[in-house]
Amino acid sequence: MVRLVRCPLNRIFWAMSSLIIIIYALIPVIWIVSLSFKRAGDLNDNRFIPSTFSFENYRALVSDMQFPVALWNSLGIAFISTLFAIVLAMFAAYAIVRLEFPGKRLVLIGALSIAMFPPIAIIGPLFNIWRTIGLFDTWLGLIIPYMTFTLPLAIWTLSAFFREIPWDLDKAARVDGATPFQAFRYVIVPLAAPAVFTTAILVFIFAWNDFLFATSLTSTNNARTVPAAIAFFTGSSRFELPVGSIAAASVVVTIPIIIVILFFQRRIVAGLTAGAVKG
Amino acid sequence: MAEIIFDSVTKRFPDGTVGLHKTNFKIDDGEFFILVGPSGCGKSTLLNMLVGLEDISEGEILVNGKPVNDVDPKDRNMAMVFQSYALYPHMTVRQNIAFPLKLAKTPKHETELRVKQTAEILELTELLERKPGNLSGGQRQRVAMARALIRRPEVFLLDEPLSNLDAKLRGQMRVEIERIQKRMGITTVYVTHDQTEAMTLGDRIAVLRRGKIQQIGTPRELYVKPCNVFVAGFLGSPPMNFLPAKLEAGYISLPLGKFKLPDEMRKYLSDKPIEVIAGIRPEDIRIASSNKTVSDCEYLFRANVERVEWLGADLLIYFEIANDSTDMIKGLTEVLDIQPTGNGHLPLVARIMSARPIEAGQSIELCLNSANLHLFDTENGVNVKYQ
Repeated sequence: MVRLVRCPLNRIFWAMSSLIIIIYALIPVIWIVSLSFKRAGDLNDNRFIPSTFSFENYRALVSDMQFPVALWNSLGIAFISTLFAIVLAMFAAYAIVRLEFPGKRLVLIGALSIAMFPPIAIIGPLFNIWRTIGLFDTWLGLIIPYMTFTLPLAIWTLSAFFREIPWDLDKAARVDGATPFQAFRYVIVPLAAPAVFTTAILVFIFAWNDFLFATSLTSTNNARTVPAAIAFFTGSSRFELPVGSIAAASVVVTIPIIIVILFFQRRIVAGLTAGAVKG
Repeated sequence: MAEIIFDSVTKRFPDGTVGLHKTNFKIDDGEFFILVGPSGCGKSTLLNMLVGLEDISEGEILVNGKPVNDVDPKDRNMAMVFQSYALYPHMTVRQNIAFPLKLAKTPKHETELRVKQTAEILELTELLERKPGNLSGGQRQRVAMARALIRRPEVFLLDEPLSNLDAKLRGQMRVEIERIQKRMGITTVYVTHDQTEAMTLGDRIAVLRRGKIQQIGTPRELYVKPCNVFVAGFLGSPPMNFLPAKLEAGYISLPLGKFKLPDEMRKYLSDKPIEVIAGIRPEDIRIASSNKTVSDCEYLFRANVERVEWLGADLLIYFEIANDSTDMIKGLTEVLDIQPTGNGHLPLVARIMSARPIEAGQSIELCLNSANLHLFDTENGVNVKYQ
């Protein structure tokens, strides 16, 4: 790899490829940002850069009744789902990796099949059940399905990572006087931090971006998250498309996720386990 | 301080294999006890059972007279050094060493004091703020020892602690471990597959094979009086030579020839003709000296030197002897995994003083004394003397 990078032609090739991919990925984002700064009249002017920058859409967003509430719902639901999913997945993954119990494979296969299950197939029944037991249009009503669908992924990622942590470390901690939980808490969890944060990001993004559950299982501002709320935006008059507001909302809703990723990314330090045992 | 008793301890793994057969032995207080054996012989299993990381299927382990079968590892007050060292990579050396005290909720000033003392004993004072990743193999090894010793454990367990070090460091650490053990007087159980470590370190050695203890004794006892063919072949480097032999009326016939057994040996042998495996240590084969008279029990023979290894003080001479009793060879290979060469010859090795210039291809006259022979049963490999 080092030799590849040194050769100038290769370098140009890699640089160009990266650039193309970045541009390809960013164009829609830049387009949305650009739209959000356009005035209502300029929305269809086919220009990439707005002729006049206006904060009109953002102002409308803040004064809008439902958007701040939806943002709060989104943040709360996504954070709680992530927290619970990660904590549960950590225990489950640790047990799967370190303990011998019947049905271990079954748990893993079951988790995998849940991950492959199409969410749309359970929306109808879930809607009815939630209405009956009173979970419809509540935070918990969204947190539960988010956890269900992110746990398998979290368990698989974390168990793959726990498997890499030498078993001798747990044993050493036990002999040093730790209870099984202390060994987990002081030795395994700190070492697994990179994997935990990676998994947390994935879970958070899933919960944050979900539209399907959010539209089907909510009906009011009680629990409606941003993706669902955006769908219910109306223009200032019935003849106007709310494109500007939607663009502004999309920009606002992207910011937390960028912050979360930047924050967690700094914690994902590779090679943390170097020197644990003889390599 | 602790005295450890294994009372018919058995380990059966979930898949049905038996890791350890009914094992009985006692480790005295303050003793340096070595478990040695080839890989997969159950020595690490035995250690893990003692420290509580593996369940005991049957029997009891008693420490100071109290059974510890159901005591959690954290409450056994035993410390262990792992083959991989198992240092916590996210903690500094200081935190690593202090970890057992932190778990025991030791007051801060005492922790500091003891970390300082332990670091001094193991010469780690300079390294306390480093992470294990930045340490050399020998330093990691010392950190692992420090972490084990800081708790002042009743029992100190070492699982092949030196196998990841280079030869020079291994020698140094061997001395170090012995010094620390003597100084602190802790009952120590040391697992190794390296016979040099076993012979030099231990007060007593237990030789294990396939989950069974073969023999327990001081290094000298095991070397001079091996109870069976496995122990005889396992200890000593190069290993003991084995030959098929027939005993008849006070005489022994080896593939080399027939000669007399000393009276002392004849006492415990019946006069009935039997087949045995004869063992002779490489150092017991000498160069025949021309000016010395040969006694009845000595046997002279000529050998063609195949290969010579010069070790400085000693010279190892490899040669082969013809062998026609193929039946016995079969028995020999089954017990010992010794492979005769294609033409039915048996490989032998002699260790002599290196003063003599001997080269491969040379024909030399060698001498062996039947008093130095170890005789083993062909069926079960047990030393005929102790049968």
